[in-house]
This record gives sequence, structure tokens and C-alpha cells, in this order.
Amino acid sequence: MLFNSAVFLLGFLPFVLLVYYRLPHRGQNAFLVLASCVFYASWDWRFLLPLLFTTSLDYWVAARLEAELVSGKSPASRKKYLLLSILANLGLLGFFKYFNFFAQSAVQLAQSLGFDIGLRTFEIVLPLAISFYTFQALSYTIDVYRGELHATKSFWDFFLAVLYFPHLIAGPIQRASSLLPQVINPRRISRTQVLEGLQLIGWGFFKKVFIADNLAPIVDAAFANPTPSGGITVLGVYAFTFQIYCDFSGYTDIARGIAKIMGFDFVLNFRLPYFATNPSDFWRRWHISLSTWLRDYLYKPLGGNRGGELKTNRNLIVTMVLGGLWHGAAWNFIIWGFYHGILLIVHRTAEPTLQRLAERLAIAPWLWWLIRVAVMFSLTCYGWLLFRATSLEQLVAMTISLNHPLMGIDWRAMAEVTLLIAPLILVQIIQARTQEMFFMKLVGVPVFAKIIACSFMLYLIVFMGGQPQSFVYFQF
Amino acid sequence: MRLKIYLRIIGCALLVVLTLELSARIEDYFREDAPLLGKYSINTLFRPAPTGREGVPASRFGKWKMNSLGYRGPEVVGGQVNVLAFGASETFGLYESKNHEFPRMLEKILNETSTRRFNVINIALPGIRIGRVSYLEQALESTNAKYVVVYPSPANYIGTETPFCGQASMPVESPRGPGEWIRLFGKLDQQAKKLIPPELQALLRSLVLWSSTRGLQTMKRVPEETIDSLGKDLVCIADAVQRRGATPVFVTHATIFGDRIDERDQAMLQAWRRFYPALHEDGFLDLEKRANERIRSVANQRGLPLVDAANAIPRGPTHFADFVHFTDKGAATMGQIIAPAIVCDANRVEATRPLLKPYAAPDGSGGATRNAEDPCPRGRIEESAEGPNPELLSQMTRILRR
Repeated sequence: MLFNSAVFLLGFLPFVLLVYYRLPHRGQNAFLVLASCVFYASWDWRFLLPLLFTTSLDYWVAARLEAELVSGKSPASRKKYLLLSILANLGLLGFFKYFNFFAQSAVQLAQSLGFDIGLRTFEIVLPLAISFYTFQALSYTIDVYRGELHATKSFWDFFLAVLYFPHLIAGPIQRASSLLPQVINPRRISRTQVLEGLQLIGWGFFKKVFIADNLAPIVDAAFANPTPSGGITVLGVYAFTFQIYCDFSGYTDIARGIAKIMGFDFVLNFRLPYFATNPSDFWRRWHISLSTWLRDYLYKPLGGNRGGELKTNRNLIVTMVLGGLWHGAAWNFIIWGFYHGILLIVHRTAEPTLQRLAERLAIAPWLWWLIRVAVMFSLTCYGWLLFRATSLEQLVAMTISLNHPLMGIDWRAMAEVTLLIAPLILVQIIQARTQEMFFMKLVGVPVFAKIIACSFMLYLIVFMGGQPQSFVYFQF
Repeated sequence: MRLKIYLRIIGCALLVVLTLELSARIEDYFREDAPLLGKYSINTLFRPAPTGREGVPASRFGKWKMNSLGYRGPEVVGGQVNVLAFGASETFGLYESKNHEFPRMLEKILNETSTRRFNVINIALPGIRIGRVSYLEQALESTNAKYVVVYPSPANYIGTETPFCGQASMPVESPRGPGEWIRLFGKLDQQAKKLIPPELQALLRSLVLWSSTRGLQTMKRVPEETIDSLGKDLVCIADAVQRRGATPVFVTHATIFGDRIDERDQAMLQAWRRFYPALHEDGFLDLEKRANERIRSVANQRGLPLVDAANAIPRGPTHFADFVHFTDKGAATMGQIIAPAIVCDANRVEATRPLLKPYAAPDGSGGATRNAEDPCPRGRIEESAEGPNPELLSQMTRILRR
């Protein structure tokens, strides 16, 4: 049941909202658990089993951690519970998502060395959203262990916090510390909240249906080309850069919007990422819920930037490679993560020199900003080539083709892509200048102009959207 | 105070609708070069005429474009053999991509398999009964066609008990509705069909049917007089065509159901019935069978080329986009099975100058030897065991695949 399917939009969501608004707080929670189970089971009811296992175990572990803390037991005894949670969660994730990949890689490596290790692979069906809910559940036990959060007494509250259907499939990754209080305490729904929610849903659908789905065939054609020229690579990567952003941030906006009209507040997941001026700025703007999770639960525990240049760089690389691997069991994701790790290190090293250079050349601030945004955008685009490539051979072929980036370029298709993303760029320039993410809240724009703009957007969604596609991030 | 709120809501709603309508017009203007302010609907293609209805020369709407004679398709090229395709919406083309309706596919195959050049002129009009002979005669007059492919739509005879041939024609107005002026309606209708789940569409159709058949006397099967009317019209057409020295090629009517109706066909059958509420769902297949039997018998009696599309086109959604209208694949198959009938007949007529290019099978065997015999069965099923020309059929299949 995709957000952009008629069943969801015309059946599931209206029904859920209708019932939800009529129930008291505890009833709302119980009903949301039921609705979320139906939503998740609509793909495959068996997916509920690992989810139920994960949440049950983490609920129990958190309760034990809390009890141990209250009774003043030693940190070592608490640690074993935390380890149990981490091993169980990552073990499950590792088995479902990575076992075959590593087994195959090991077999290939052994074969290349002349050994036959006889490791077999399994027909494993990857439970949808396992990467997302594993991280959400883990954040709960880790926060309780750290004493930053009290364990909840109600299993169903915790279960709902993990299972809640708007964020279950592709995030944003909601930390228990942020979502659990919203589940436990009664929610108030204001008119402004509903309006903001509806606007988020509309804007999300616009990005997904009008931009991403219309870009999808262009991207697919470019990446299906067995002998890509520089022009084809440039077009494919340029289109994919916006497809993945609009697809993923579109999903997030719809999720945040749906949550908002139910009285929940999800974290911001994207903050104009293509306006980033450097790699570390990019990761403060792109998939914020994942990058902050990696920062707080991986990078910092590894030592963060304490312990010298070398250790910091190592921590950055480890964090980014694991972040890449989180996206999928394939070498290109690992390479993509490594690439971003290298970018972060190079930026850390070169930043003081760059600043001095700008001062010495006395470049106007706006021009300096523009140059940095353009350079970072180009680096990000190349990252997306690593991300989207379907094989290492393709990755190499497309990279080599970039030696002649204009060879065989289809200017008409380039213009089409530019035309499709033009409304996005326009809106984001306004957002960047005004720092106001909600168009309807913009002061100085007459109401009738806002209505016209929203109606035009509605037209583009309903009548000029592309062939419905699944959300790209659903595979992760 | 409350009035002010209501007025504001109405004003906002109006602004939304106006913006959507303007957007629709701008889209049509850029995509299809449609007029920004004038009327633009399927009805712009047709106008009332003394013969009933006719196409508006050089008009266009979406993928449909009329030539200067008012027929769908490109301009007629002089010095070529003209073939008329006469029928209703199935022939006119509804769901096929641009230039993929069966007359276009037929023309493509004829020109690729023959030494002579053909124009296939699509004179079909949606909803027409083939008994409108005056319209056909006018087309024959203006094109001097040598062949007329007749693809009757039996359902258009539901409720008819007298043949149309010989009846005085009256100008027929196209149905008018708000869609004429408000472009949004047409677009919403199309979008709703895509968005609404099939189960819900079936439910809505049942409701519409229920309301339209309330108080209406429905029939389980069409009376024999209806089939007789179709038969008489077919005879009348054959006469009119032959009088002008042309050859009628009769084609039996194919549907998505083939020769049986499964449980899963019910929704499609219901969709068909929406246009002919007087006939019960069970009556459609019966009508098709009896009408096709009559088409075969008229062709047989008159010794005319017959293409048995009803038996030759496989049932199911690969060939049909709805109950009777073709997909690209269906239209291509139609072209593929009709072409041999025309080529064979042309070869026989001009035995000294074969129209068919010699065909050599990939293994070197074959050739044009079958042309020495009479490969053109008349009044018989084209796909019978002693079929017309398997080489030709396979040659055409390859052309279509290409």
C-alpha cells in the first residue's frame, strides 16, 4: 500500500483519519497500532514477525535496564542487556539484509584465490523497512542504557512508536526520545497543524508524482544504456540527483504531513540539501534523521573527533561506509559511503586553506557561496552516480565517459529535466531566502496568489504526474 | 459574519476551479496546439451532415486528426490503390497509440508486402451503423476506392428492428455536455478511470446501470429482426460497393470475450452494457454470435472475401483495451489478418501483374508458388486449415514485429 496508491489515498487514509478523530487518546493509540499492522501487512503479513520480535525484545531489554539502574546494579550487568539488544537487532538485520551479500562476496574472493569454501546462500525475503525500524528500536535501548530516556511501561506505546505507519517504511528515523512522549501523552490537533500537514502532504506529492516520477524514465533509460557517452551519463546523473531527492524528501514530507494532521510532530529530514556549501554541511541537510543517528550512536561512541586527526578520519570513514552499507547490500553503496567519508576528510583538511584563499582573493561573499554550492552540488552528483550504478562495470564505464561530458548530450532532455525541476528550485530559493519552509505562512504574498499557486500544483500532481513508481528508499 | 465566511469559501473554491481550468487549457495549448479559449473536445472532430454525421476536414483533438476529406488519418496520396475502412469506433480507433489504429496498420502491411502502393482511408465514425449507405457512397465517390473493409459493430443495432439502408438520413448532432466548455471534466474523467480501483469502478457502474434500467424494459437477447436488419444492411452495402466496381471485404466482429464469458469478464461486460442498458449482460455474446453468423452467411451467399476476426483474434486484454476496442497489438493483428484478403483478391484480379512480392522463406524454400493457385477463399474463414497463404502471414508478422 504505497502512499501514492488509490487504495491508500481514497480508502485507507480517509478511513483511518475518520475513526482516529472520533476516539479518545488511548483508543487512538490502540487504533493506530491496528491500522499500522494492516498497513504493514498489506505487503506481507509475515513481515510483522521480525518486527514483533525486535520490539518485544527491546521493550524487555529497556525494562531490565531501567530496573537494573533503579536497583543500583553495576554498569557491567546493564551492558550485557544492551549487548543483547544490539546483537539481536543487528543480527536480524545482518541476516536478512547482508548474509547473502557477504556470503557471495566471500565465495567469490575464495574462488579467486583458488579455494572452494562451500558457503551457501539462502532464498531470503528482506522484510520491508527493516533498516529503518532496527535503528529506531536500537535508539530506544541505547537511550535507556545511557539514562537519557525512561523505559516505557506500556509495550503497546513502544510498539506504536516503532510501527506507526507514516514513518515505518522509509522514515524519518524517529528516535524513541522524540516519538514516545508524543505517543504516551494526549495529542492536541490545532488548525495550523492541520494546514501545515496538508501543505506538507501536497508538496510531498508534488515532488514525488510530478518531479520524481516524471524523471524516472529519463534516469532508467540513461542507466540502461550499455555504452553510455558522457552526455548520457551527465543527463542520467543530473536527473537522478533530483529524482532521488524528490522521491525521498517527497515521501518524508507526506509522512510528516500525515503525522501532523494526527497531532504528531516528526523531525525534519531534509533542509535544502543541494544548497550545501561543503560535505559536512550536506550531511546536516540530507537525511538528517539518519546522519544524526549515525553521529550519535556510531561516530561519537567510536571517539568522534576526540583523539587526533588520524582517529577522527578513521571514525569518519567507518561511519560513512557503514552508513552507505545501511542503504543496501551492494558494493556501490559501500563505495558511495567511502566517497562521502573521503569528501568529509578532505573538507576538514582543506577548509582553513580555502577560507584564507577566499579572504586573500577578496571574493564577494555571495560569489564565494555560489562557487561552493556549485562545487558541492557537482561532488554530490558524482556521489549519486556511485549510488545508482547497477554494477561496478557500469560505474567504471560511466566515470570514464565523464572525460567528455558533452559528448552525445541530449539538450532537449536536459531542458525537459530543467523544466521539471524549475518549480522546486523556485520554491527552494524562496525557502532559502525567507527561511520559511511553509509557503502558506509567507507574509507579503496575497491569499489569492497562494491559492492559485496551490491549485496549479494540484493540477500538475493530478494531471501531469509520471507513471506511478514505488518510492526509491523502500528498498532500503 | 457567517455569510462572509460562506462567500469566502465559495470565492476560494471558484478560484481553485478557475486555476485548474486555466492550467488544463495551457497544457492543451502547449502539448496539442489546442485553442486557448475555444471549444476543444472529441466533438470538434464531427459535425452533422445530410448523411447523418461526418468528420470535420482538417480538425484535430488529441491524437485524433482528420485529413482534408474529413477522414481520420493522413492525406490520400494520388495514384495509389484506395481501400476504405468502414465501421464504428473500433475502426476509427480509440485506445491505440497515434497511427496504430488498424486501418493504419493494414496500410503499412499492404505497402510492405505488395509491389503496388495502397492508401487505407479510415472513413469510420464512432457509433455509426453500417447501414448508412449514403455516407459510404459519398466516400466511394470521392476516393474511387477499390476495396471496402466493412467491420460492423453489432451492438449498434440493439433496439433496431428495421434496416438503416434505404432510410432517409437526418443530420445527427453530437452529444453535448459541460465537457464541451470545461476541459477539466474530460481530464478528470480520464484520471478517475486510472485512479479508482477496478472494484470500485464496477460498483459505481452497477449503480449507474441500476438507475438507468429502472422502469426500462430489458431483453435477454435481441430479437431476430435486429439480426435481419444487420443482414439487410450488409447486403445493401455489398450492392452499393459492387455497383461502383469495388470489392467489399467483410470482417466478423471480435470482442475481448471471444466465444465465452468467464466470471472475471463480468465487470467488462457491465462496462459494455452501460452503453446499451436495454440488453441484459447475457445477451451480448449471443448477439455477437448471431451477428457474426449473419456476416459469414452474407459473405458466403455473395461470394465476398471474408475475414473471420471473431475467431482469429485471441480473447483477453492483450488485444483489447476494453470490451471491443483494440490495443496496439489488437490493431496490428487486425491489419495482419485483413491484408491477405486484399492482396489475394488484388492478385487474382490482376493475375498478369502479381501485387505480392515473391517471398522466400529463411531456409530458401517457399517463394511465390502459392500465388499460382487461388489462395483467396471467398465467403470462407481466412484462418481455415487450407488457409490463404501462410508465407504471407508470416511475412506480415515479421513486418509488424519490426
